[in-house]
Amino acid sequence: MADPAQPFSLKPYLKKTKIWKSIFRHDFSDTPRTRLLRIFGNVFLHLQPVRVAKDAIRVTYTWGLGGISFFVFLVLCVTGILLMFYYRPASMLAFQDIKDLSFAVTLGPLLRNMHRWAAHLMVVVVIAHMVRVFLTGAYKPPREYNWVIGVILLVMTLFLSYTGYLLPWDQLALWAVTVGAQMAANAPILGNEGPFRLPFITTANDARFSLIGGTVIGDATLIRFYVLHCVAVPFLFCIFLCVHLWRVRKDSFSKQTGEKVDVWPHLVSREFLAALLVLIILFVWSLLMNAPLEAEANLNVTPNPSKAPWYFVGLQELLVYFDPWLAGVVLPTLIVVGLMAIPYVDTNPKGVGYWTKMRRKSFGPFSIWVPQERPFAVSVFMLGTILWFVLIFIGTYCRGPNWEWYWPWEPWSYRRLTKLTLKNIPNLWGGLLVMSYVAMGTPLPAKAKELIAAKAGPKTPGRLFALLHLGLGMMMSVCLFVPLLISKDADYPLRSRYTTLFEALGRSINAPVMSNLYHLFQQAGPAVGSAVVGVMILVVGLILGRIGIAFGKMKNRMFDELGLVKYAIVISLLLMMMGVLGKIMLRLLFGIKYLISLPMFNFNI
Amino acid sequence: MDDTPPVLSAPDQPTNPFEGLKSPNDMWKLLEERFGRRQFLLKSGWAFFWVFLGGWLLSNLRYLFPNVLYEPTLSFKAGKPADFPLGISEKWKKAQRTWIVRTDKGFYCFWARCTHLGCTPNWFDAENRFKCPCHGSNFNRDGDVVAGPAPKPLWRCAITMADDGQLLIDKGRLENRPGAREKGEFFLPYESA
Amino acid sequence: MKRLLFVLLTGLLAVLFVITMWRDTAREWTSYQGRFLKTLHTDERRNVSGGIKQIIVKDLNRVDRCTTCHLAIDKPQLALGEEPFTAHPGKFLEWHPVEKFGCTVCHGGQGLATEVKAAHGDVKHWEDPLRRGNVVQASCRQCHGDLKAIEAHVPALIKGREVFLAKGCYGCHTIKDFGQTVSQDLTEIGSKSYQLMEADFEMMSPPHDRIRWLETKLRHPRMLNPGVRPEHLPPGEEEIFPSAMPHFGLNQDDIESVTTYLLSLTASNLPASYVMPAPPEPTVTYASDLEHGTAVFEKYGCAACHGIGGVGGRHNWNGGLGEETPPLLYVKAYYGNHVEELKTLIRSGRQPVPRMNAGRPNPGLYMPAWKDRISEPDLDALVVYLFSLADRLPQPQTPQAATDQAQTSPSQPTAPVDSSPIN
Repeated sequence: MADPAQPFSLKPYLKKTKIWKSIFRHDFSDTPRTRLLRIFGNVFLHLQPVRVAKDAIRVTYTWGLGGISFFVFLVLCVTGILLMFYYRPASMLAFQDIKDLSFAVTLGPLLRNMHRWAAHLMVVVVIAHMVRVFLTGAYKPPREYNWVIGVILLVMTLFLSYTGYLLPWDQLALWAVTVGAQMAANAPILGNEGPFRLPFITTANDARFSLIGGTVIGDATLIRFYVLHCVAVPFLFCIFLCVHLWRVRKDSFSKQTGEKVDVWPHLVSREFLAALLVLIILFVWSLLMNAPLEAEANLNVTPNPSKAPWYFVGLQELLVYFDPWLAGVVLPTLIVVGLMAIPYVDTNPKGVGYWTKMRRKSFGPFSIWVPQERPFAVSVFMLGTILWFVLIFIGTYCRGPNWEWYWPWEPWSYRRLTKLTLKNIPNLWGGLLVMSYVAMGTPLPAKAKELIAAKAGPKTPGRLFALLHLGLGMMMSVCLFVPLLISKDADYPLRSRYTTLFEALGRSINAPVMSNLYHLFQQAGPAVGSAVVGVMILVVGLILGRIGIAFGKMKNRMFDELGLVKYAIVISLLLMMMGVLGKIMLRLLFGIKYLISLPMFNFNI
Repeated sequence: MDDTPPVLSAPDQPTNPFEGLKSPNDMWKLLEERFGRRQFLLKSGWAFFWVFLGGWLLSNLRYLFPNVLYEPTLSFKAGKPADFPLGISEKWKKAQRTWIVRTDKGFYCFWARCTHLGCTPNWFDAENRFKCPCHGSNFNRDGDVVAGPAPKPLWRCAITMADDGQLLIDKGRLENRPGAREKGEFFLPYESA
Repeated sequence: MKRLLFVLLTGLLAVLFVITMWRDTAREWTSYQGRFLKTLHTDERRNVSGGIKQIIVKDLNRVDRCTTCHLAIDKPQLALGEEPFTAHPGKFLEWHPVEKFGCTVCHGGQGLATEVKAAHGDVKHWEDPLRRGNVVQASCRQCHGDLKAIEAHVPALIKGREVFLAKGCYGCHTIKDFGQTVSQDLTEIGSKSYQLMEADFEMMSPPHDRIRWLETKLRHPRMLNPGVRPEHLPPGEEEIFPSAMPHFGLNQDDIESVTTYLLSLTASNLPASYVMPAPPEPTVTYASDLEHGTAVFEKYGCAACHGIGGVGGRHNWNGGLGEETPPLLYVKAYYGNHVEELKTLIRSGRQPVPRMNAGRPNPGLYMPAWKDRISEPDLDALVVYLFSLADRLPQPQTPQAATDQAQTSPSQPTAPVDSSPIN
């Protein structure tokens, strides 16, 4: 070592040792051979293929979203494990430990912030990844199965966030989890307060009880959520993640155009840069913003308003419009099942491996951007996604104390006087309304069309079809407005003024539609009033019918292409989504609570 | 795992351990004809395995339902009736999560838990309503829903007079159906002097 | 291009790491400790160790890190004149050993925090702010049942209790099963959550904490709950009156004292070994029925609504009698021959009281029932007192005499000026 004539160099010496050779099986010069060996010879890099189409790794194709969500998951694992060293899951200690982390532990605030913000980022990135995969058709055969795995991973991501939310044991945590757990109590059949509850189900053995380990949230819940959050769900998550990544490798990337390039260094370097970028974002975010921590959990005081974490605020907002079993159990289940069903009902082979081009299309006076290929699939999926985020926006920015409507620029007031009153539509009318809405989904199969055309002339099927839709639209309009106007509770439209969006739009105007109509009906004499109301009903009915007709052609084509079963799945999911939107509008504009209400079965829609 | 052997193999295999048995059971024969012996063994093996696995999973599910709870008792004494003014008393809201309501006819008691998703509503005297902060449900003095998403009226607790002249409230017995909730143990007649 | 990006990103990450570590080491308390250590001699420094310090009080379930910055609190020989390096005044630490009591059990604030604002409780979601100044006396009552024994140390607390009694707060509020239920139960007002005490900070400038809220409420009872006037409501809605709490015209000193007293009303439940219970109240004997009656009138808080000495004059929105509470000077004139009727009225109260304008909502103040609260002998004595009030009615007099009286009246306890709502 001290020989000056021949300078000793450590590296070549080390490289000759058996230990080095046993770990590194190849040298690191940049030759085509080593590029392959790096991927083959490394268990982690072997997740990736050796060579990949150049276009597939373009940033603007995938935006690296899948890889980024994987990386964020790793960050969450690391920070989470570190946090566990200081955290004790007992109600007497948990809150104190979090305070310790934020005040007395070296790097404690940073790790906690990073864990919290990374969790938020992961939800965003996972959703964005799903949207990307949908829009580039990457879920189509042979990747249907992997799409389903992906949806399961999305659900697990949300469940991980939910279980982690309780752990700080502050008011925010307690009440978000109370609301969430109560949804389980409203599960049909197995929930104590759900519809069609089994006779032996009580608060002490229903679905909620098993989730929180008691009848009220307490120590049992905390340890349960701790185990779920730190061990059980991550364990399952990892299994599904392995399958997901392995499947990507087996089914190959969705884009196959362009020359093949070596994954090392082309893809690996991109992934590394993306990881660096994400890490920087998380660092800056954690330095600038502290993770929220409110007062210690107290079952006797509900913060006003108490909001779920943002990714569940959409669900919370949905809970305003629907009964818990619907909004908390049925709709989320249908959303998940619907997402899973997408690759199996979408038989259109187009649109795989590229972003669809958009073109302008004019609808009367308006002109909007429409995707050139798969217009129906893309617009429905995007509408659903946007609707979800609109609900999140409303819940986050438009809801104040007592969950009342405030515009984002309005200051909250705890003493604002709002005598909100809602009204049910009588069951008969409501039932008719729902039935006509569902009937809007009926197609006219090609065979039936031929049959009718053969019997009654070529134009008859079209006319019949149009007539059916106009009739249904009119029926819906009548069922909606007539009971509102002839309701015995005469001051209903007046009292509902606070509930309506119009009221929120300008509290000073104080002139909602129904209120004015009602006055016309009452004061301008029955003839004039009825005429005006009749015209309005007619107009609304015609509009609804026209919309039905506009979608008619598409419905018929879809039915012929998909067959009965797939068509039924698609149309019922579509109707459900639009129905949710419709019900929200009915609530906001007219203050309608239920269309059908059967309290003895806890069944209300 | 289940590389099923050819079905035909069963009857005349020399290595068959049952070959030596010259008095075959009728039932056994029937089964043999039906499935073949190895198939039958395999199938019953799987059946046992699934019985075990299903039972194991179910029993583990049962494991998640605790048999003892560390939760406070549900009944408490709320003090003398005369201590409550007419109207809604929030005296026991914090400790016991109940409102005690006194009317000129008598007493009833609400469980301060929104029937929507279990938040604790607040009483707004000026508006004569309970309002829930979570999803904006409103209840009137009778506990009926006047607005918001709550599907059911507020629960009323059983309220009786204890031997020492105090109000005895039991949150374990609840009622909210109009008609049933205004009588029996859910309403305590008490005339104001 | 990629290499440049690589360098930029890793460089940025390294910088962020340095910033993080710097932020983590340069905490607020480190600078305080540094400043303090600089003032010490080398040999003194040996006795003062650095780092986060904490006092763990198992019995009280508290961990207090206040001494991280308040380094000289128990070392008078090292103390400096400026905060946070002062020593604890008086012999309080001798009487209350730090390891047995900690800091926050008396001073409030957030013991676990190590940042000034958070530790002093001047942050959101911490509802026990630091008790600055005399207000800290409130804490003594957690253990000391007998305030007389520590009289010299808790003047504000004792004065607060006296003012509370004198103004008749018990007439509407309950403390531990004594008092009336016209308004909020004050039993745990010192520790109740803001939401349960209906602390509405909307009409208040920050800081929004319990102490400031109580002070503001005592200073301007109606300011925090101004109600809603009919012109701000849609037609057909009932207006909401401002808070019914009368304006007592307390001065700054009174306000601080009463706040201290209110803060001492907590749900805190210290272990029995800490508590020094109060001696039983001595039974009072009265020289005359009149004296007895006066005591009853004061004890039950009749003065809150009927004015000190029964002169009335409290504002009661939409109440009969010109929106004012009834004075008691005419009781003899009305009920002189119907004593039983008067007693019945006191026993069963009058709720709601008659309205001035039937179209407006019920008045906020009303006569509560005293049936199970005032004993029969007390009630008899009260009647004697009430009848005696008639003597205070002005006798027919010349204009000259009237002006004389007006000039001298402020010093008299029965003067109506005392109870005027705009004092």
